[in-house]
Amino acid sequence: MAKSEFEVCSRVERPDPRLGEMGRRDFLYGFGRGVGSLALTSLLCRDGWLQAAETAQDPLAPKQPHFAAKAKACIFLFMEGAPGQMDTFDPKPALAKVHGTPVTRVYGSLEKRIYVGSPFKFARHGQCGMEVSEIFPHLATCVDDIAVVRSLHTDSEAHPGACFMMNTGVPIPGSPSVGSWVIYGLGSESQNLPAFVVLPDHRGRISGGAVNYSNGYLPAATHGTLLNAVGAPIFDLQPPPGVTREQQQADIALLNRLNRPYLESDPGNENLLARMKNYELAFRMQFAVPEAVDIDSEPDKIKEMYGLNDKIKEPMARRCLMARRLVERGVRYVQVYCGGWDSHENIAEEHRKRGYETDQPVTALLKDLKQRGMLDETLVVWAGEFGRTADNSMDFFRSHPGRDHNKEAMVAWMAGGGIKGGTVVGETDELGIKAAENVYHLHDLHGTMLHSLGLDDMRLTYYHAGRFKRLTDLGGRLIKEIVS
Amino acid sequence: MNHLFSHLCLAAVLILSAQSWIPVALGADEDISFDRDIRPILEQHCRSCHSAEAHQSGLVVDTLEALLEGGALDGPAVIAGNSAASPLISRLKGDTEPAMPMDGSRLTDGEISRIAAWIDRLKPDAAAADRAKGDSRSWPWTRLALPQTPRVERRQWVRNPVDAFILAALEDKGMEPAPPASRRALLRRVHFGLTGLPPSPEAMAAFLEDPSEDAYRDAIEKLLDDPAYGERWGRHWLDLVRYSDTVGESVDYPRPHMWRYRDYVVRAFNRDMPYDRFIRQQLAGDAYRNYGAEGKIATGFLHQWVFVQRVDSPQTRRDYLNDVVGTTGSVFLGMTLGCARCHDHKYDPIPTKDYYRMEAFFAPVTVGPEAVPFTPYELPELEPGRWKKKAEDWKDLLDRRKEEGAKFKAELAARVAPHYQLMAPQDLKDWVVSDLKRTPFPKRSLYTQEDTERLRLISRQGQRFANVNSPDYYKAMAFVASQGFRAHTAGPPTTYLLKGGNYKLRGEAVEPGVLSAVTGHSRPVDYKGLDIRSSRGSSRKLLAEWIASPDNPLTARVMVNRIWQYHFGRGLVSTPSDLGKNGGGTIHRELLDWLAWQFVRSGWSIKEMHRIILQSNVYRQSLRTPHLEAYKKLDSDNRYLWRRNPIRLEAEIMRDSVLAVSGQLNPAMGGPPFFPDIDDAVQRRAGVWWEPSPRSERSRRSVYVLQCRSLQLPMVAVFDGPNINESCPVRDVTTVTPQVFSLLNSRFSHQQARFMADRIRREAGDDPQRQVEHAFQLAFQRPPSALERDECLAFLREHQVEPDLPPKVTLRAIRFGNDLGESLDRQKEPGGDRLARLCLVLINMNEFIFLE
Repeated sequence: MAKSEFEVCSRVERPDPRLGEMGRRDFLYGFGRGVGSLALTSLLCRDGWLQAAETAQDPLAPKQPHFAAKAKACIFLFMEGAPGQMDTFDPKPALAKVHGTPVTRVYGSLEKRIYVGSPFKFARHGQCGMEVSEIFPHLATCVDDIAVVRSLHTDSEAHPGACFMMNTGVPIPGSPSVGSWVIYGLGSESQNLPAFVVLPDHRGRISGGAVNYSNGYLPAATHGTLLNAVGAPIFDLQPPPGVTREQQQADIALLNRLNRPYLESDPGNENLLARMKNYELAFRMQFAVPEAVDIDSEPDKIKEMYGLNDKIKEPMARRCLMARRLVERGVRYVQVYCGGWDSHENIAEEHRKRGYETDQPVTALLKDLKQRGMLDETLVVWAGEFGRTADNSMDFFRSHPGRDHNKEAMVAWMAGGGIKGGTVVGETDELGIKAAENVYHLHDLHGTMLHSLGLDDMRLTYYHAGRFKRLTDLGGRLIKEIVS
Repeated sequence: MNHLFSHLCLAAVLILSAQSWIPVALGADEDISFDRDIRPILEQHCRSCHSAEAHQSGLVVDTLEALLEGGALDGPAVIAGNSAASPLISRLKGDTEPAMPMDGSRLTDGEISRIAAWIDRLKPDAAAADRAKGDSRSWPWTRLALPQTPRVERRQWVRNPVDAFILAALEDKGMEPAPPASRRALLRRVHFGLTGLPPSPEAMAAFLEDPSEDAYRDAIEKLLDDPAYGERWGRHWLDLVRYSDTVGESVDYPRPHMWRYRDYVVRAFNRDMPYDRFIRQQLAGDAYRNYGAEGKIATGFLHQWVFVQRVDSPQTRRDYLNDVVGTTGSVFLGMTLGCARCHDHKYDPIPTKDYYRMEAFFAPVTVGPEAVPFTPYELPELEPGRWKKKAEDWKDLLDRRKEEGAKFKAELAARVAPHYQLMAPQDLKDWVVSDLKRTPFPKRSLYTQEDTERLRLISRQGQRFANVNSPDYYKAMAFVASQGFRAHTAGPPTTYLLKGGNYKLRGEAVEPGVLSAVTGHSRPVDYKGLDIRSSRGSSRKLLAEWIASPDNPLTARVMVNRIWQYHFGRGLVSTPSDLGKNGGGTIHRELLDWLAWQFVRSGWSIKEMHRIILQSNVYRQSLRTPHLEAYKKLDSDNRYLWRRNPIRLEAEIMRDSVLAVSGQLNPAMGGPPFFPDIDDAVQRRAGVWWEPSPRSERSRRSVYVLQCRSLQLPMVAVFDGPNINESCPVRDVTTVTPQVFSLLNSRFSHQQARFMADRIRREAGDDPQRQVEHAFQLAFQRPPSALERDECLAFLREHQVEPDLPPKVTLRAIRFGNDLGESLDRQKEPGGDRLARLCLVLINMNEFIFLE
């Protein structure tokens, strides 16, 4: 972790004494590592420029957790579209027996549907003997590091709403995302990279859009930053050719000086200060981001381990490897998306494909974190936005059976960050339709994630619209079985 | 995928039922809110045992509904209006054993009496009624009437009734309005609000010189007459109708004639078309003979849906109908009609049957390209010279590209051929193309990187999608609605009520009809002499008449709220497309009604609404008030309007303002969209063929940018542009780091900064002091402060000698000819021109993108 400050920025020239005061400030702007940037604020205050800074607390300043944290960072692997629990980590032999049997029930409306047994074989793995679907042969080799929760349920059964629910704890848009809450609670470890990074699927946008990584009503600086996994990570990350770093540094220094008096035009408008800080962060990001996402600099062995040489696995491998590199460099919360799990039709083929493209990269991420001694300090979460049904509509069943949306049962796993590996928590009913034993709501999952990061979900509050709001609304229960 | 709708609808039910928000009916004397005041107490003390998860003895304290229902032991825990009889209180007090909480802790007397007071204020009937949905007798379903202007104490502050309404509410809360904004801030506010462009330094100087009320009024009138007004307000409307030049989804085909609808919208605002006519034309312009071509073009409104490729075609039809009914409901009626597609609306009096009765109006509609001659108001007739040149340039470009492509391919083939004599010519060509794509530099002796680049260019020109080369942009065609749809059978299609929104589950057949909450019944209606049964061909006309009627309680309220929102940053109702019970609600119903009444009385004149709102003192308030801290505690969202809300300019307005101050803004209006200069990597990712338009075209206002669903202009996307797939009633305002890159690093910003520097040298000469003065005048219409001037002068002094470097020939210059090249290599390194860098800094300042 100590290697997180990268070479480019640490090659610091001494400021030219002839530049006097201005040079001193520029020096701090451009090359401020943790200490430098903090010093900047106090320097400016002393100069009487940044009065607002005296009162406005830096929302990204590192903060003490509520209690000793197990994890410093979190990587959330979002399987968008929702994998079926009975096809991944929750085997249902009883369902196989009723495969092809009709059932009439309400799904949106009353309709005749057909039960679908899982097309995948399950086997026991590891010392714990955890049952894992054949679509995850790699992951099966590290089940002793992961804890599976089979009894989760959520509040929404439509993709956007359920993505909002998983990402913000509320099924309607507008609330802060988990990453924003974490940054709000803990601040940022990195002075050069955004604290909350989202690596979207290469196939398209997240269902519901930017709301999924928005700060909602929390301070603007806690908004998630999207990094493209292919091509330029951020549009216009670099200035046009010919603009030197020194020039840009001087430009930003002037900009911040000219911006200062305007703060008084609207005291308390935190967007003004947030924007000023963004210029400093952006300047440092220009150098830090390309370095952080420079997958090519990894040794071949590592690339191979993640599956970068396989065209199909490559996009996810890229994102997983980027996630590790970002966390290594002090990014607090990384969300990795893998879409395409919404298998209403032909789950046998579709889920197998998703398994193929994600299994090796995800497993490599776990093993890589472990071999670097980072897994203990990094919480890894794998989940979709809801679960899938045990039955399918007649039409699809006749062609290629799949599964539809189900909010009553879903599965997720967690690893690292003080999570007890080799654990399986909760049960669904016989056919996997509904969480039945040790039932946990998504609020509980969120609460447990915060717990691993040293935050008490009941104490992590923000006063908004007349009440103290929380990620877990009225509080989540800790999933005790998996917390060591 | 055919169950997507049922999923969505089912989910909607679940979302709604998961909501614990229930408005509490209280006496008027004190305002105790369950969510704000009571729930936190119960959460703290009771929830560990009585939550939705735990629910000991069946009691849940999370919601009022749950409390009224109660648990197994005591029955209802709360008896509305009677705290003494409420088991909740007797348990908390310890009058009933066991006392609660069980752990022996006790609530304070204050907490208990607070809960008791809240229970006593709950009205039994109201509590029951409130649990039911909003009914058709309550606002906004009530008939529009002119509310009485309230009496206020500070009468001298009241300029027009708008002020009286706001002030009365403020005084009621013991608050006072903020002092007036400075005249400078005010003129900027009006300029950006009405035209989306900054005032010129001259206009500002003239305005500051004449402090009279007439000067303000004249400024408003002048701006309302400025064609830029229609571009600004047309863009607001385009947000609402999810305007796009492409169909959307992954196969993003162009809708090349759509620009005629966009120009229609801009023109409608500029001519202050009465809003009722604006509605009629967009919903049924094809059915009114007197609207002619204009009416036909207006029905482009009905063709903005996102086309998704489907396996089953009935579902595609469902996509269309769902979109058009839902959008009509939210845009014109401010009601989330879409909710009622699968179930009766949970919050508003809209039964499922009403949804399908509304849908039946649209059942016969098809929209497709149709020959519509250009009207005298459209670009080809208004400016035939410019039009002709545009079209010819277009054709020339196309021919030239084709010719160049063929020639180059032949050349390349000839060069490569000797080395591969055994291959047939066609095979050779194929090989060249595929091999070049695979490996850019395999054989340097045969071809260069430039060859590769050119070849890629040529192959992409042949692609369709949002093809810049499509000649359809220049045809006298438009997307026009007609009543032509026949669903596999003769005669007009019958609309059925669909269970759960699933087209395979047909219920009863329904006739077209309007919302029963307004009419009081759900029989077929005739309206203004239109009988639904006799006017089969134009049932939409009936719908249009009904929506555009002064008797419709929703239409005017919805529109005046939107106008208010665009001036104040937030509507009187903060959810402008949902005035229903689940929306944001408002504390300003009377003001909204008063404005709506004036709107109808003015003949639905939007410009008249601007005059009323802009004249008010409410509008002229400053951002700053001495009571900031105190009032924030009372009303953190500023719902009472005790000051002005800060506004950040929208992405398009930022871009237009940069062009305005750099002097490059090309005011040419209308016509086919232009293609901005977008980074190559971004273009490629989107898979569209995107050739930047010539520079003068690219310097036009953002409303004319190609609205491409698969590729939003990055600057617009990063500065919270609208989600182009759905109606967008409110733009987000986020502050994220990538915005910095867009404004500080983009080629656009750097080019414009250099143009601005050139302009300053031209207009202010070489004296640095005058240059700085002029730069501030252009950007902010004020002189720099002493501090600012010194900072800027020091900045300019540092490197007075600018190195003259030879022009750089870039690959882009090769690809796109001289035009982009010229703007990139203006003999100077971009970073070397200090004045240009100062200009870049100015357009990045907070003051440039925030409005006071």
